[in-house]
Amino acid sequence: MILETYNLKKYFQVGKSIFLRAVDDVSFSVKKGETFCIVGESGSGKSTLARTLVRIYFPTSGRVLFNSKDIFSMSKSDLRAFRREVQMVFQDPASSIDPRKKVKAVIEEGLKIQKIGSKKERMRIILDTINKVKLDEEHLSRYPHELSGGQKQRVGIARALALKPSLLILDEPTSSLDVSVQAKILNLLLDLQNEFGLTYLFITHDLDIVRHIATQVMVVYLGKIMEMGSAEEVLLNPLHPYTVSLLSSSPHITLEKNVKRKVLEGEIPSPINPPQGCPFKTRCPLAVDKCDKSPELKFVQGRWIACSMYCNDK
Amino acid sequence: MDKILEVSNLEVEFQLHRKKFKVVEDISFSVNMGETLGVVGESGSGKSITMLSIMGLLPWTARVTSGSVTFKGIDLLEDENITKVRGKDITMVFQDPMSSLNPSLKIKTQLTEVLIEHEKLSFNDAYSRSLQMLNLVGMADAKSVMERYPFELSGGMRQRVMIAMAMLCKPSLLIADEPTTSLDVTIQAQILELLRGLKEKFRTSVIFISHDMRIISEIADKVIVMYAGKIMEKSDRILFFKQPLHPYSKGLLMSVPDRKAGNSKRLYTIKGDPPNPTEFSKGCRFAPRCPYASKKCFEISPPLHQVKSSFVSCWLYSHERESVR
Repeated sequence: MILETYNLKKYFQVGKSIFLRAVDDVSFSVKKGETFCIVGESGSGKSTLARTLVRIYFPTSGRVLFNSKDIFSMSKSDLRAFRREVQMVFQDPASSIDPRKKVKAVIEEGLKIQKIGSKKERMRIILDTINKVKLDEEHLSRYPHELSGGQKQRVGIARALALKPSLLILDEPTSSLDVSVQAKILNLLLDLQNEFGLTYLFITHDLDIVRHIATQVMVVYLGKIMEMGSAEEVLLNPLHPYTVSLLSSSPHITLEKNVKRKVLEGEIPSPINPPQGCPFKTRCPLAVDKCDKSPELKFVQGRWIACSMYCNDK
Repeated sequence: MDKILEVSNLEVEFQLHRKKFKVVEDISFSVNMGETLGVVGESGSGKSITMLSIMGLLPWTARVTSGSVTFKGIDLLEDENITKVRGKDITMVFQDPMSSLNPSLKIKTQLTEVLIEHEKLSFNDAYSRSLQMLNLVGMADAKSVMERYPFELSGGMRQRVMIAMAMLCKPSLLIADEPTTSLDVTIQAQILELLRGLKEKFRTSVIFISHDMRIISEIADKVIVMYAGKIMEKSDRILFFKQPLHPYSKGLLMSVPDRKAGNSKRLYTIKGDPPNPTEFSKGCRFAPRCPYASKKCFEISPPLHQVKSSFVSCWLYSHERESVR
């Protein structure tokens, strides 16, 4: 296990005794070398979760272990190593890369902070990294605004990769890109994983991408886990009504004349005032009385699921 | 079938640092009554610029240098004509509803304004028509939404307001420019369903712009593929998705992640990047990235060849009849 979380909660205070429950009691673990996908709509707490995992946010309660060490009570030297080994790639490269720095400086910054190598050695690392993400040496002297969207995202990946991390947290890294560019970035990520045995924590809302890269999938809704398990089980044989509706909502190439599909009604409720019991009950086509009680996360048919349909029977 | 919009040989030029660039060239297509035309292309392919020139909304650095746009027999390139139909008979829904709604006006002000301006209704009449339309686009609690400002609404609700606004005067043509790109899949499905329903109810023709082949395959009747400011392929939906002709169309379709494929498989990619409008080559613009490119492709720009009922701009089909434009 490279990353484990136990009962992680992150509440934001938005008023006098009013809390926004962005992440609500989430436990999961990520094995070395796998691609763990977190799927959910906007407002489901995916990004807050990612930010808590890299110590940008401190949790309200719960623990996060990286290589069996608690990241919130680490010694200074462990923390330094943690900050090198866990890197993040953001959704919008245009706003996550300093526009006033040239590409070389963007990639070098992390190395400098980590006090890695001499100037010469750093240059070698930078050239090495830039090769891996298939950029040219000439790009190093450019500013971010001189690059295309795909190239910017490659810089974002290079910046993370330069530090030789073991865990990459990718927050929707392709959702602002065109399909043809997206395909290239996804292939690059697959190659890098094969070459360096990287572990990916991949956040996305596109289920077709999940199918392509994920080994494990976690479906979240209003800060809670709905369904979690191997990609095969969850995507090919989804049990939770939310996973089922996500899958049926996402478009696919079709020759049918009139595509009729189950459209999920309504929108995701506010996490400030979430429904009592199962958070999904307000939109669930199968909701019944017993959904007013919070369903426990249970292991059913090869995956974890929080739905009263499967949980309270046994 | 009645043609309601006909665009022929449209060419748009941008001026930058005293240099002129053609960003859109040789664009010809038509839209029939009640039909949905899907326009696919990557960013920079000129799809939005084409639509903006139909609407007469080009930025001041750009101008239409040749070609014609005819809507129900009138010439839309005349400023006088387009101002009469814009927002009334031809309407547009944009990608980002937050930046296309006025942030400082209540929803009711923005909706009623359309009817007061175009149909000279009184505020009260306009208000009740607007409320009706909000209900029709599936807005929950429409009455209270009327009193709110755009920032108080979610992305999906804002897009519903935009669609309601576009449908108020029962237009004959709705141009939807990536209307679901910024939305979640579940909301996207709702909006697509809504557009489909409205189209049937009002017999509105739709031009649907998207970079997502999956959506186009679900909603369009006809498909146009654009690349670097030119039309690469024009086809019927079924024909196109069964058997795309242009190497670019094939590449685009193959790079879509497929749910049925197993995991950890590499995706197909098109080598290279799309060109800048400042450096378009003289032959086929896709040639530098095309796996089938021959010498001819780099030298002479291919005309549209007709293959069955599709049109494709590619020398691979030069044995087919050249289309008479």
